[in-house]
Amino acid sequence: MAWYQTEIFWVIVKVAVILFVILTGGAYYTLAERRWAAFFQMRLGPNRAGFWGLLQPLADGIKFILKMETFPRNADLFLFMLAPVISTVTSLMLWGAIPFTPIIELPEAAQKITGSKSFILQVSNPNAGVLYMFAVSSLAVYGILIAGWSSNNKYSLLASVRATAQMISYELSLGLSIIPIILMTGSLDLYTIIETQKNSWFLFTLPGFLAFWIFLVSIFAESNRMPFDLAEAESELIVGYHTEYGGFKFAFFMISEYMNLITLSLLAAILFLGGWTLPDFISSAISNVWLQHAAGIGLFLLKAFFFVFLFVWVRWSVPRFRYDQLMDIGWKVMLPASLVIVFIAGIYVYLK
Amino acid sequence: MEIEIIRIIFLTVVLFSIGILGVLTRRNIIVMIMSVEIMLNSVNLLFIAFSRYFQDLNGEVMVLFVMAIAAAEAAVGLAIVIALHRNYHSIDIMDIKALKE
Amino acid sequence: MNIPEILFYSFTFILVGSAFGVVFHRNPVKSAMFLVLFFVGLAAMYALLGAEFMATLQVLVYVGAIMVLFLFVIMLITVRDEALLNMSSNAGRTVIITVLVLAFSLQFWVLLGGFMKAKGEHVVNGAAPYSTEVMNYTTGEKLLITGNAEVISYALFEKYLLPFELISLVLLVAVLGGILLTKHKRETLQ
Repeated sequence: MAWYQTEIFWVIVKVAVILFVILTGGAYYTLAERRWAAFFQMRLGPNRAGFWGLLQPLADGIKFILKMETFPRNADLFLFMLAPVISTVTSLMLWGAIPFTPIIELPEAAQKITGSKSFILQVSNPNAGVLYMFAVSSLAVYGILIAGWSSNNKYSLLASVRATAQMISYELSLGLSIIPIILMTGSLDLYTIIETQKNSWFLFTLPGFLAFWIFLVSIFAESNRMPFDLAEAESELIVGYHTEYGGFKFAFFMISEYMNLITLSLLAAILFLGGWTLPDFISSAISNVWLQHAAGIGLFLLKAFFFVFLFVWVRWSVPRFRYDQLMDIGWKVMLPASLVIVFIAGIYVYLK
Repeated sequence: MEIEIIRIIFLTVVLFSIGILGVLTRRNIIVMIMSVEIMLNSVNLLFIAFSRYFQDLNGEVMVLFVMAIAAAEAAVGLAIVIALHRNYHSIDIMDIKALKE
Repeated sequence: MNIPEILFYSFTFILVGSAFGVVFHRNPVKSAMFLVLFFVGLAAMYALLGAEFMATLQVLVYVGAIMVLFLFVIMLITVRDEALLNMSSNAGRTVIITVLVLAFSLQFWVLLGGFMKAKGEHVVNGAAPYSTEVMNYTTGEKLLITGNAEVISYALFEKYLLPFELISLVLLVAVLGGILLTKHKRETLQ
């Protein structure tokens, strides 16, 4: 067996491809957000660097690298440097479990080269994929908490305590909003969840439809985005937990935030909108298998892109909540509502 | 993927002893609660190891229950710490002696 | 040395080191950080032993929820009175207790070492999955299920149903207790 036929080589190739996609995706999301924001406010936005401003992320990156490194006095340097690393690593780890493609049967010629019969663009398939996603995303809290504490600035600390309290409150309703799907699928595996939705998306079932709205609001709160971006309330807290961060350390926080948004978009497309599956009437119309796969994956990315756009759309259209209102909504509305939806889902599955 | 069970038992004994050490030597209440968590988790590791050794999942279910109880314990314990800090303005175990005097 | 052994020893190093860090670091925030490392290392150890579901739950429950609570309390309490952080213990007493505890664990080592002399016999196989036979109540047929999460869920909702429900009651009481204790009025004691 040649070196390029081993499994570990292909895992490394997959990791490299996914890392490339995710990092450029995160960088270009910043550009997209600025362009769309400009569109909503009837401005032009960044359009100088390259055609349509397409080189802007590169220019930003160079600027971040060339900036002087500054450290606050009396800060805990080790934890101060560790915080952006934790944020970035956790948002990178989430992509390891997402199945981007269905299991593709390879043709004869490709089988000889790769040494395996099928191919799937998913780094590893953990036993309980949904739980893995939640476990890793709950680690992301530490990036924020450590950043706020170690920068030795009371506004940073307040912002980080706010952000983490908000994140763990909404993680409850986020987790509960996924239970209807797990009940209907009977599996925690992301691949099985996608396969089950072949002919009807979970969005079009009663519990799935109800849970979708809880999920949507919770992912906005979970990623500290606009109607809930209390961590970055400029008028109260300077710019939030990364006030003291400059240069590339700040870029790490920035890019991990956008990578998280893309992950959540992909997750929403997987859990509620059917991922890369094609309904039977479409897949029977397309005769070529490869065209079917291309259409499915293209549709999957399009669904995720809709959520990516939705994040920006909401951010520039809606004002921010007050902090006590945010907590009230989280604990007194979202949590009971998602419990009721779990109950409804139980009855629905029982009757079916 | 095979590990001798005796090494895991040694490891859990060491971790449990470190937990006892923390409870006995530290005076900060929060660190004491954290040491108790270490002790609980070393026992959890032993449960899991034996559950895998005998291919019997009762141990893993027990770990699940221990986790739930530990969550409840941490919530109540930290609430007590906050109440103590509010009343004594200290979380040093030596300062809390209202019943002694 | 094969790969599982190397992994086992590196996780052991992380676990013991971070446990000592929790106990002996003077700053409670750093102690809590070491405890986070301890829990992550323990989750890795669970995964190595083949209990993947428990490893995920360990990260989800301990790291994602309990330790955040600890850090909250530490940060909110110690930020206000930084002076209270310098609580030094009696050095002589610490040494005596340390020696006693280490002797205690050493005694265990010796005893256990006597019991399990045979090397390579009593091994934990991380790759072997659980399997159990369950009955489908709607159709009445028996089926064999394997895998971690499935088997545990069947055990939880059949054999351990009553304890499971009692645990939820305990958690409810803990939530109520936490709220009541922290909402206490300021003038009650003293």
